[in-house]
Amino acid sequence: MTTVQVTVIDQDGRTGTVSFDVVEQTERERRSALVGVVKPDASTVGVYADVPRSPQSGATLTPGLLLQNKTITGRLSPPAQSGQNNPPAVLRNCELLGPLTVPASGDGILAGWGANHVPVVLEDCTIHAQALNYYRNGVMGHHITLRNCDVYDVVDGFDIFNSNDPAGATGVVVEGSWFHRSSYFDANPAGDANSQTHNDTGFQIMGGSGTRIVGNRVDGFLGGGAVNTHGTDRSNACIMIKPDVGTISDLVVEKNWLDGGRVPINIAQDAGSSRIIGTGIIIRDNVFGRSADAGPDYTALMPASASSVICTGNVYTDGTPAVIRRNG
Amino acid sequence: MFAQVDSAVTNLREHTVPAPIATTDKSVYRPGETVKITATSTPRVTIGLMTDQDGRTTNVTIIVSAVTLSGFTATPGPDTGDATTRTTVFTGTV
Repeated sequence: MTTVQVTVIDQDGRTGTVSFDVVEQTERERRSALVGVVKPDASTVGVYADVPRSPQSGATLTPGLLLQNKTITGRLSPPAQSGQNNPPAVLRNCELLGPLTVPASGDGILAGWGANHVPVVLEDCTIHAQALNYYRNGVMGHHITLRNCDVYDVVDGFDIFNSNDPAGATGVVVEGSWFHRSSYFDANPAGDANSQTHNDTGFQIMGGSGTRIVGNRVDGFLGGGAVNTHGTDRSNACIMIKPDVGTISDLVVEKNWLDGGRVPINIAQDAGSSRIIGTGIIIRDNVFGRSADAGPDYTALMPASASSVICTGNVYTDGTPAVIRRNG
Repeated sequence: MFAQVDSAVTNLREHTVPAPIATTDKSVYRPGETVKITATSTPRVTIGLMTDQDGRTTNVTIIVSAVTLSGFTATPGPDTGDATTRTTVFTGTV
Protein backbone atom coordinates (compact mmCIF):
# COMPACT_ATOMS: atom_id res chain seq x y z
CA MET A 1 0.00 0.00 0.00
CA THR A 2 1.20 3.48 -0.84
CA THR A 3 0.06 6.63 0.90
CA VAL A 4 -0.13 9.76 -1.22
CA GLN A 5 0.19 13.07 0.60
CA VAL A 6 -1.30 16.03 -1.26
CA THR A 7 -0.81 19.68 -0.37
CA VAL A 8 -3.30 22.29 -1.50
CA ILE A 9 -1.92 25.83 -1.78
CA ASP A 10 -4.11 28.91 -2.07
CA GLN A 11 -3.44 32.18 -3.81
CA ASP A 12 -1.56 33.58 -0.85
CA GLY A 13 0.58 30.55 -0.14
CA ARG A 14 -1.47 29.11 2.71
CA THR A 15 -1.50 25.33 2.67
CA GLY A 16 -3.67 22.43 3.68
CA THR A 17 -3.11 18.71 3.30
CA VAL A 18 -5.00 15.56 2.51
CA SER A 19 -3.81 12.00 2.04
CA PHE A 20 -5.15 8.82 0.49
CA ASP A 21 -3.98 5.26 0.10
CA VAL A 22 -3.36 3.31 -3.08
CA VAL A 23 -3.78 -0.43 -2.67
CA GLU A 24 -2.17 -2.59 -5.31
CA GLN A 25 -4.61 -4.59 -7.39
CA THR A 26 -4.24 -8.31 -6.95
CA GLU A 27 -3.66 -10.46 -10.01
CA ARG A 28 -7.07 -12.00 -9.41
CA GLU A 29 -8.69 -8.57 -9.50
CA ARG A 30 -6.74 -7.55 -12.58
CA ARG A 31 -7.79 -10.61 -14.51
CA SER A 32 -11.37 -10.40 -13.34
CA ALA A 33 -11.63 -6.86 -14.64
CA LEU A 34 -10.58 -8.01 -18.12
CA VAL A 35 -13.26 -10.67 -18.60
CA GLY A 36 -15.19 -9.98 -21.78
CA VAL A 37 -13.05 -6.95 -22.49
CA VAL A 38 -9.73 -8.45 -23.53
CA LYS A 39 -9.28 -11.69 -25.49
CA PRO A 40 -7.73 -14.17 -23.06
CA ASP A 41 -4.10 -15.07 -23.59
CA ALA A 42 -1.19 -16.35 -21.53
CA SER A 43 -1.11 -13.14 -19.53
CA THR A 44 -4.70 -13.48 -18.31
CA VAL A 45 -5.19 -17.22 -17.73
CA GLY A 46 -3.61 -20.07 -15.85
CA VAL A 47 -1.11 -20.18 -13.06
CA TYR A 48 0.96 -17.16 -12.14
CA ALA A 49 4.41 -17.19 -13.66
CA ASP A 50 6.01 -15.55 -10.62
CA VAL A 51 4.37 -17.51 -7.80
CA PRO A 52 5.98 -20.86 -6.94
CA ARG A 53 3.84 -23.95 -6.54
CA SER A 54 4.46 -27.05 -4.50
CA PRO A 55 3.55 -30.57 -5.60
CA GLN A 56 0.59 -32.36 -4.12
CA SER A 57 -1.07 -35.68 -4.85
CA GLY A 58 -4.83 -35.30 -4.98
CA ALA A 59 -6.96 -32.99 -2.88
CA THR A 60 -10.02 -33.36 -0.70
CA LEU A 61 -12.44 -30.75 -1.89
CA THR A 62 -14.22 -29.84 1.32
CA PRO A 63 -16.62 -26.92 1.65
CA GLY A 64 -14.77 -23.67 2.20
CA LEU A 65 -11.40 -25.07 1.20
CA LEU A 66 -8.94 -22.55 -0.26
CA LEU A 67 -6.06 -24.37 -1.86
CA GLN A 68 -3.45 -22.21 -3.53
CA ASN A 69 -0.12 -22.52 -5.32
CA LYS A 70 -0.10 -26.27 -5.89
CA THR A 71 0.74 -28.60 -8.73
CA ILE A 72 -1.76 -31.38 -8.21
CA THR A 73 -1.62 -34.82 -9.72
CA GLY A 74 -4.47 -37.28 -9.68
CA ARG A 75 -8.16 -37.12 -10.40
CA LEU A 76 -10.15 -34.56 -8.45
CA SER A 77 -13.74 -35.27 -7.54
CA PRO A 78 -15.74 -33.24 -5.02
CA PRO A 79 -17.58 -35.34 -2.44
CA ALA A 80 -21.28 -35.07 -1.73
CA GLN A 81 -21.98 -32.30 0.72
CA SER A 82 -24.22 -32.54 3.72
CA GLY A 83 -27.03 -30.06 3.34
CA GLN A 84 -27.21 -27.42 0.68
CA ASN A 85 -25.51 -24.17 -0.21
CA ASN A 86 -22.20 -24.84 1.46
CA PRO A 87 -19.31 -22.58 0.45
CA PRO A 88 -17.33 -23.92 -2.49
CA ALA A 89 -13.92 -25.46 -2.47
CA VAL A 90 -11.67 -22.93 -4.17
CA LEU A 91 -8.46 -23.80 -6.00
CA ARG A 92 -6.37 -20.81 -7.04
CA ASN A 93 -3.10 -20.74 -8.91
CA CYS A 94 -3.03 -24.51 -9.15
CA GLU A 95 -1.86 -26.69 -12.00
CA LEU A 96 -4.10 -29.74 -12.39
CA LEU A 97 -2.39 -32.59 -14.24
CA GLY A 98 -4.79 -35.47 -13.74
CA PRO A 99 -3.71 -39.06 -13.14
CA LEU A 100 -1.32 -41.23 -15.12
CA THR A 101 -3.86 -44.02 -15.36
CA VAL A 102 -6.14 -44.42 -18.34
CA PRO A 103 -9.84 -44.54 -17.45
CA ALA A 104 -12.22 -47.05 -18.98
CA SER A 105 -14.64 -44.34 -20.11
CA GLY A 106 -14.88 -40.59 -20.36
CA ASP A 107 -13.43 -38.90 -17.30
CA GLY A 108 -12.28 -35.49 -16.21
CA ILE A 109 -9.20 -34.16 -14.49
CA LEU A 110 -11.90 -32.52 -12.39
CA ALA A 111 -14.88 -34.89 -12.31
CA GLY A 112 -17.81 -33.27 -10.54
CA TRP A 113 -20.96 -35.03 -11.58
CA GLY A 114 -22.10 -36.60 -8.33
CA ALA A 115 -25.40 -35.64 -6.75
CA ASN A 116 -25.25 -32.53 -4.54
CA HIS A 117 -21.48 -32.40 -4.53
CA VAL A 118 -19.44 -29.63 -2.96
CA PRO A 119 -19.33 -26.75 -5.44
CA VAL A 120 -15.90 -26.14 -6.89
CA VAL A 121 -14.32 -22.88 -8.04
CA LEU A 122 -11.12 -22.90 -10.07
CA GLU A 123 -9.39 -19.53 -10.38
CA ASP A 124 -6.24 -18.91 -12.36
CA CYS A 125 -5.62 -22.62 -12.76
CA THR A 126 -3.94 -24.51 -15.58
CA ILE A 127 -5.66 -27.76 -16.46
CA HIS A 128 -3.90 -30.15 -18.80
CA ALA A 129 -3.45 -33.90 -18.85
CA GLN A 130 -0.03 -35.24 -18.00
CA ALA A 131 -1.15 -38.48 -19.65
CA LEU A 132 -3.13 -37.73 -22.79
CA ASN A 133 -5.59 -40.45 -23.62
CA TYR A 134 -8.80 -41.12 -25.46
CA TYR A 135 -10.99 -40.69 -22.40
CA ARG A 136 -9.38 -37.77 -20.63
CA ASN A 137 -11.37 -34.56 -20.60
CA GLY A 138 -10.61 -31.41 -18.67
CA VAL A 139 -13.64 -30.75 -16.50
CA MET A 140 -16.91 -32.68 -16.33
CA GLY A 141 -20.10 -32.16 -14.40
CA HIS A 142 -22.03 -29.38 -12.73
CA HIS A 143 -21.82 -26.73 -10.00
CA ILE A 144 -18.35 -25.76 -11.08
CA THR A 145 -16.97 -22.30 -11.77
CA LEU A 146 -13.89 -21.54 -13.82
CA ARG A 147 -12.34 -18.10 -13.82
CA ASN A 148 -9.35 -17.29 -15.99
CA CYS A 149 -8.25 -20.87 -16.39
CA ASP A 150 -6.04 -22.35 -19.11
CA VAL A 151 -7.35 -25.66 -20.42
CA TYR A 152 -5.53 -27.73 -23.04
CA ASP A 153 -4.23 -31.19 -23.91
CA VAL A 154 -7.56 -32.83 -23.17
CA VAL A 155 -10.25 -34.29 -25.44
CA ASP A 156 -13.09 -31.99 -24.38
CA GLY A 157 -12.51 -28.87 -22.34
CA PHE A 158 -15.62 -28.91 -20.18
CA ASP A 159 -18.54 -31.36 -20.46
CA ILE A 160 -21.54 -29.79 -18.73
CA PHE A 161 -24.32 -32.04 -17.47
CA ASN A 162 -26.09 -33.17 -14.31
CA SER A 163 -27.55 -36.64 -14.64
CA ASN A 164 -29.08 -36.27 -11.18
CA ASP A 165 -31.21 -33.35 -12.32
CA PRO A 166 -30.95 -33.41 -16.11
CA ALA A 167 -32.86 -30.21 -16.89
CA GLY A 168 -32.16 -28.46 -13.60
CA ALA A 169 -29.63 -25.82 -12.72
CA THR A 170 -26.12 -26.69 -13.84
CA GLY A 171 -24.46 -24.17 -11.57
CA VAL A 172 -21.76 -23.73 -14.20
CA VAL A 173 -20.07 -20.41 -14.82
CA VAL A 174 -16.98 -20.17 -17.01
CA GLU A 175 -15.41 -16.81 -17.65
CA GLY A 176 -12.17 -15.38 -18.99
CA SER A 177 -10.68 -18.79 -19.71
CA TRP A 178 -8.75 -20.15 -22.68
CA PHE A 179 -9.47 -23.57 -24.20
CA HIS A 180 -7.13 -24.82 -26.88
CA ARG A 181 -4.97 -27.64 -28.26
CA SER A 182 -7.45 -30.53 -28.08
CA SER A 183 -5.93 -33.99 -27.85
CA TYR A 184 -7.21 -36.06 -30.76
CA PHE A 185 -7.27 -39.84 -31.14
CA ASP A 186 -8.30 -41.48 -34.38
CA ALA A 187 -9.66 -44.59 -32.64
CA ASN A 188 -10.69 -45.76 -29.20
CA PRO A 189 -8.46 -48.17 -27.27
CA ALA A 190 -10.39 -51.10 -28.77
CA GLY A 191 -9.57 -49.86 -32.22
CA ASP A 192 -13.20 -49.72 -33.33
CA ALA A 193 -13.95 -48.27 -36.72
CA ASN A 194 -15.13 -44.64 -36.83
CA SER A 195 -14.39 -44.20 -33.15
CA GLN A 196 -12.24 -41.09 -33.46
CA THR A 197 -12.65 -38.44 -30.79
CA HIS A 198 -15.13 -35.67 -31.46
CA ASN A 199 -13.26 -32.98 -29.69
CA ASP A 200 -15.29 -30.11 -28.33
CA THR A 201 -12.38 -27.87 -27.50
CA GLY A 202 -14.33 -25.64 -25.16
CA PHE A 203 -17.64 -27.04 -24.10
CA GLN A 204 -20.05 -29.88 -24.66
CA ILE A 205 -23.25 -28.69 -23.06
CA MET A 206 -25.51 -31.69 -22.62
CA GLY A 207 -28.31 -30.42 -20.45
CA GLY A 208 -29.54 -28.14 -17.71
CA SER A 209 -30.27 -24.51 -17.17
CA GLY A 210 -28.43 -21.43 -16.01
CA THR A 211 -25.06 -22.11 -17.64
CA ARG A 212 -23.00 -18.98 -18.24
CA ILE A 213 -20.13 -18.94 -20.74
CA VAL A 214 -18.68 -15.42 -20.77
CA GLY A 215 -15.51 -13.84 -22.07
CA ASN A 216 -13.68 -17.03 -22.94
CA ARG A 217 -11.38 -17.82 -25.82
CA VAL A 218 -11.81 -21.14 -27.57
CA ASP A 219 -9.41 -22.14 -30.32
CA GLY A 220 -11.06 -25.12 -31.98
CA PHE A 221 -7.91 -26.81 -33.21
CA LEU A 222 -6.23 -30.13 -32.53
CA GLY A 223 -2.85 -30.38 -30.88
CA GLY A 224 0.15 -32.47 -31.70
CA GLY A 225 -0.15 -32.12 -35.46
CA ALA A 226 -3.29 -34.29 -35.49
CA VAL A 227 -5.53 -34.36 -38.53
CA ASN A 228 -9.26 -35.11 -38.39
CA THR A 229 -11.31 -37.19 -40.80
CA HIS A 230 -11.80 -34.12 -42.97
CA GLY A 231 -8.06 -33.81 -43.34
CA THR A 232 -7.69 -30.67 -41.26
CA ASP A 233 -6.52 -29.77 -37.77
CA ARG A 234 -9.89 -28.45 -36.59
CA SER A 235 -11.79 -29.93 -33.66
CA ASN A 236 -15.48 -30.76 -33.79
CA ALA A 237 -16.61 -27.49 -32.23
CA CYS A 238 -15.65 -24.77 -29.83
CA ILE A 239 -19.05 -25.16 -28.18
CA MET A 240 -21.32 -28.14 -28.79
CA ILE A 241 -24.86 -27.71 -27.50
CA LYS A 242 -26.98 -30.84 -27.63
CA PRO A 243 -29.47 -32.12 -25.03
CA ASP A 244 -28.01 -35.61 -24.67
CA VAL A 245 -28.71 -35.62 -20.93
CA GLY A 246 -31.51 -33.12 -20.41
CA THR A 247 -33.34 -30.21 -21.97
CA ILE A 248 -31.10 -27.18 -22.25
CA SER A 249 -32.47 -23.76 -21.30
CA ASP A 250 -31.41 -20.38 -19.91
CA LEU A 251 -27.94 -20.63 -21.43
CA VAL A 252 -25.89 -17.51 -22.09
CA VAL A 253 -22.88 -17.61 -24.41
CA GLU A 254 -21.58 -14.08 -24.40
CA LYS A 255 -18.52 -12.03 -25.35
CA ASN A 256 -16.40 -15.04 -26.25
CA TRP A 257 -13.71 -15.28 -28.94
CA LEU A 258 -14.35 -18.43 -30.96
CA ASP A 259 -12.52 -19.84 -33.94
CA GLY A 260 -12.04 -23.18 -35.66
CA GLY A 261 -13.94 -26.39 -35.18
CA ARG A 262 -16.12 -27.94 -37.84
CA VAL A 263 -18.24 -24.97 -36.83
CA PRO A 264 -17.49 -22.82 -33.77
CA ILE A 265 -20.94 -23.25 -32.20
CA ASN A 266 -22.92 -26.33 -33.13
CA ILE A 267 -26.44 -26.64 -31.76
CA ALA A 268 -28.29 -29.89 -32.33
CA GLN A 269 -31.43 -31.57 -31.12
CA ASP A 270 -31.34 -35.04 -29.67
CA ALA A 271 -33.43 -36.75 -32.30
CA GLY A 272 -36.27 -38.88 -31.02
CA SER A 273 -36.01 -37.82 -27.40
CA SER A 274 -38.13 -35.51 -25.27
CA ARG A 275 -35.03 -33.53 -24.40
CA ILE A 276 -34.89 -30.37 -26.44
CA ILE A 277 -33.14 -27.11 -27.08
CA GLY A 278 -35.38 -25.05 -24.83
CA THR A 279 -35.98 -21.40 -24.15
CA GLY A 280 -33.70 -18.65 -22.94
CA ILE A 281 -30.66 -19.65 -24.95
CA ILE A 282 -28.74 -16.51 -25.91
CA ILE A 283 -25.70 -16.31 -28.21
CA ARG A 284 -24.65 -12.70 -27.84
CA ASP A 285 -21.75 -10.39 -28.67
CA ASN A 286 -19.29 -13.12 -29.57
CA VAL A 287 -16.37 -12.61 -31.94
CA PHE A 288 -15.76 -15.31 -34.53
CA GLY A 289 -12.67 -16.16 -36.51
CA ARG A 290 -12.91 -17.53 -40.01
CA SER A 291 -11.13 -20.85 -39.63
CA ALA A 292 -14.11 -23.19 -39.37
CA ASP A 293 -13.80 -26.40 -41.33
CA ALA A 294 -17.22 -25.85 -42.87
CA GLY A 295 -16.24 -22.53 -44.35
CA PRO A 296 -14.92 -19.10 -43.43
CA ASP A 297 -18.30 -17.59 -42.62
CA TYR A 298 -19.58 -20.40 -40.39
CA THR A 299 -20.20 -19.26 -36.81
CA ALA A 300 -23.28 -20.78 -35.14
CA LEU A 301 -25.19 -23.60 -36.78
CA MET A 302 -28.51 -24.87 -35.51
CA PRO A 303 -31.60 -26.68 -36.73
CA ALA A 304 -34.77 -24.83 -37.61
CA SER A 305 -36.41 -26.50 -34.62
CA ALA A 306 -34.11 -24.50 -32.35
CA SER A 307 -35.98 -21.34 -33.26
CA SER A 308 -36.01 -20.12 -29.66
CA VAL A 309 -32.26 -19.52 -29.71
CA ILE A 310 -31.57 -15.77 -29.69
CA CYS A 311 -28.51 -14.59 -31.58
CA THR A 312 -27.57 -10.94 -31.45
CA GLY A 313 -24.48 -8.75 -31.73
CA ASN A 314 -22.19 -11.50 -32.98
CA VAL A 315 -19.43 -10.40 -35.35
CA TYR A 316 -16.34 -11.62 -37.14
CA THR A 317 -12.96 -10.35 -36.04
CA ASP A 318 -13.20 -7.53 -38.58
CA GLY A 319 -16.44 -6.34 -37.00
CA THR A 320 -18.80 -7.43 -39.75
CA PRO A 321 -21.99 -9.16 -38.58
CA ALA A 322 -21.67 -12.92 -38.19
CA VAL A 323 -23.77 -15.23 -40.34
CA ILE A 324 -26.00 -17.44 -38.21
CA ARG A 325 -27.30 -20.57 -39.87
CA ARG A 326 -30.63 -21.97 -38.74
CA ASN A 327 -30.81 -24.78 -41.24
CA GLY A 328 -28.35 -27.20 -39.73
CA MET B 1 -11.47 58.37 -21.04
CA PHE B 2 -11.70 54.85 -19.78
CA ALA B 3 -13.24 53.90 -16.50
CA GLN B 4 -10.77 53.33 -13.74
CA VAL B 5 -10.66 51.73 -10.32
CA ASP B 6 -9.69 54.55 -8.01
CA SER B 7 -9.73 52.97 -4.59
CA ALA B 8 -9.10 49.62 -3.18
CA VAL B 9 -9.31 47.84 0.11
CA THR B 10 -7.50 44.61 -0.03
CA ASN B 11 -8.41 41.53 1.85
CA LEU B 12 -9.97 43.01 4.95
CA ARG B 13 -10.11 39.55 6.43
CA GLU B 14 -6.37 39.13 6.16
CA HIS B 15 -5.93 38.07 9.77
CA THR B 16 -8.76 35.56 9.84
CA VAL B 17 -8.42 33.82 6.50
CA PRO B 18 -8.19 30.07 7.12
CA ALA B 19 -5.89 27.70 5.32
CA PRO B 20 -7.42 25.82 2.42
CA ILE B 21 -9.02 22.48 3.05
CA ALA B 22 -8.82 19.46 0.74
CA THR B 23 -10.87 16.31 0.82
CA THR B 24 -10.90 13.19 -1.37
CA ASP B 25 -13.94 11.27 -2.52
CA LYS B 26 -12.55 8.04 -1.06
CA SER B 27 -9.76 7.06 1.27
CA VAL B 28 -8.46 4.01 -0.64
CA TYR B 29 -7.92 3.67 -4.39
CA ARG B 30 -6.77 1.01 -6.81
CA PRO B 31 -4.22 1.72 -9.53
CA GLY B 32 -5.97 3.25 -12.51
CA GLU B 33 -8.80 4.68 -10.45
CA THR B 34 -9.84 8.31 -10.65
CA VAL B 35 -9.25 10.48 -7.60
CA LYS B 36 -11.34 13.57 -7.00
CA ILE B 37 -9.87 16.14 -4.63
CA THR B 38 -12.12 18.97 -3.56
CA ALA B 39 -10.21 22.06 -2.43
CA THR B 40 -12.05 24.75 -0.51
CA SER B 41 -10.29 28.06 0.02
CA THR B 42 -10.95 31.64 0.95
CA PRO B 43 -10.26 34.03 -1.89
CA ARG B 44 -8.45 37.36 -1.74
CA VAL B 45 -11.11 40.01 -2.31
CA THR B 46 -10.48 43.54 -3.55
CA ILE B 47 -13.37 46.02 -3.28
CA GLY B 48 -13.01 49.18 -5.28
CA LEU B 49 -14.89 52.11 -6.68
CA MET B 50 -14.95 52.47 -10.41
CA THR B 51 -15.45 55.98 -11.83
CA ASP B 52 -16.25 56.80 -15.40
CA GLN B 53 -15.34 59.94 -17.38
CA ASP B 54 -18.39 61.75 -16.09
CA GLY B 55 -17.77 61.03 -12.47
CA ARG B 56 -20.36 58.28 -12.14
CA THR B 57 -19.29 55.56 -9.75
CA THR B 58 -20.06 51.95 -9.09
CA ASN B 59 -18.64 49.33 -6.78
CA VAL B 60 -16.45 46.59 -8.17
CA THR B 61 -15.34 43.42 -6.45
CA ILE B 62 -12.30 41.57 -7.64
CA ILE B 63 -11.87 37.99 -6.44
CA VAL B 64 -8.52 36.33 -6.68
CA SER B 65 -8.58 32.58 -6.11
CA ALA B 66 -5.84 30.36 -7.45
CA VAL B 67 -5.55 27.01 -5.75
CA THR B 68 -2.84 24.57 -6.78
CA LEU B 69 -1.87 21.07 -5.71
CA SER B 70 1.48 19.64 -4.78
CA GLY B 71 2.28 15.95 -4.42
CA PHE B 72 -0.25 14.66 -6.92
CA THR B 73 -0.94 15.50 -10.53
CA ALA B 74 -4.54 16.43 -11.14
CA THR B 75 -6.51 18.70 -13.44
CA PRO B 76 -8.59 21.48 -11.86
CA GLY B 77 -12.20 21.94 -12.80
CA PRO B 78 -13.91 25.35 -12.87
CA ASP B 79 -13.58 27.54 -9.81
CA THR B 80 -17.00 27.93 -8.18
CA GLY B 81 -18.40 29.64 -5.12
CA ASP B 82 -18.55 33.27 -4.00
CA ALA B 83 -16.44 35.98 -2.43
CA THR B 84 -16.13 34.12 0.84
CA THR B 85 -15.65 30.49 -0.18
CA ARG B 86 -14.30 29.05 -3.40
CA THR B 87 -14.29 25.42 -4.39
CA THR B 88 -12.16 23.68 -6.99
CA VAL B 89 -12.45 19.99 -7.85
CA PHE B 90 -9.25 18.38 -9.11
CA THR B 91 -9.37 15.12 -11.04
CA GLY B 92 -6.42 12.77 -11.43
CA THR B 93 -5.59 9.09 -11.86
CA VAL B 94 -3.56 6.96 -9.49
